[in-house]
Amino acid sequence: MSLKPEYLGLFVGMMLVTYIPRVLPYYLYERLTIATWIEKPLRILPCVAIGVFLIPGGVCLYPDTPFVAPVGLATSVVVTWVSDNIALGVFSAVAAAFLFA
Amino acid sequence: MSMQVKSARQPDSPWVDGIVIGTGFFPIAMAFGMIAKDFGFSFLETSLCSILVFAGASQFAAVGMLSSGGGILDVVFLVWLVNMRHFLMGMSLMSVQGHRLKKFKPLLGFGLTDESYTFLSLSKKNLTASYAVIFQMMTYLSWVTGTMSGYLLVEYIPEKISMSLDIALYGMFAALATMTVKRDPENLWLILLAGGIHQLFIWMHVLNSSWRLMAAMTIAAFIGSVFFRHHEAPSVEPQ
Repeated sequence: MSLKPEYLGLFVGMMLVTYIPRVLPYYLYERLTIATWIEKPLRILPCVAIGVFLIPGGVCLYPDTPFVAPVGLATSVVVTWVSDNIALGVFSAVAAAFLFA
Repeated sequence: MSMQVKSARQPDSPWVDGIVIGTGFFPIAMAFGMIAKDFGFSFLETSLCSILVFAGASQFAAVGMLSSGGGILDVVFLVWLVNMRHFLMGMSLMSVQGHRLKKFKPLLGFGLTDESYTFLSLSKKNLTASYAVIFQMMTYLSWVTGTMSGYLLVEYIPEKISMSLDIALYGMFAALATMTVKRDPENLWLILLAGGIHQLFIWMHVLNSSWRLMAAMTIAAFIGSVFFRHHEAPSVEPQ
């Protein structure tokens, strides 16, 4: 159970540079007047983010067995489409990956 | 009749949703616990890193950089670069859900990850600050306990199980994508456009991975805001 002082310093530094950009928007947003040309992209950003997370990171998750990730993701898509349930989609992807890996 | 159907629906539970998405954090956290142990962090140091920082990719990057001889300041700078994107996501979350997230701001900021950002901005029309904070804290618990488990149990986890759990987070992104596309098919083009730009940057070997992510998101969001019809937050609450 050791804790080196330089690592404690490292973790605190990492915490600050992670926390500050994350918490600032909660306080900044109301105080700023955001122009429409920035507001619009911000509002579609969640959808866009999914795209950059999934392609190629998700699709190419298992380089040794390249078909497993697409099959898992497709399972999640089908199950979510039918059930409207995100949790079921998540678990079906895991189950598919387990079965096909 | 429709009233009955409505009342029969399960109430939204941030505990359950948090555990489900937290399941996706767990194997990644375990992997972090394992590589931190490999590097030579003590159990306390490994746990503390996840407790204080709560940031997936940049914790891995930090250990990687330390192993290749990087100094403390180098690592902190790298982590800052990697996590700057959360400022962008935070501003986006506020523009979509800001009027519902007036309470617990310091905690909500702490728990803002790629996953909670997409989930909270897309999945709830009737989001409340307390839902968001419980949801995020469940994912945080999963991150911390996962890190500890990885450190302690590294020898005992069958590879096939930990490997198939790796897909959980992407399964969530796929599920969220499905809900947004079901609601408005135009969103499919937005998702493909963003992924396409990201893939293009990777082929071109431009930027490092975090800047690539930010650049692809920014460009796709601007193009999307010009060429796509609706600019409402694509909420995916089932009808």
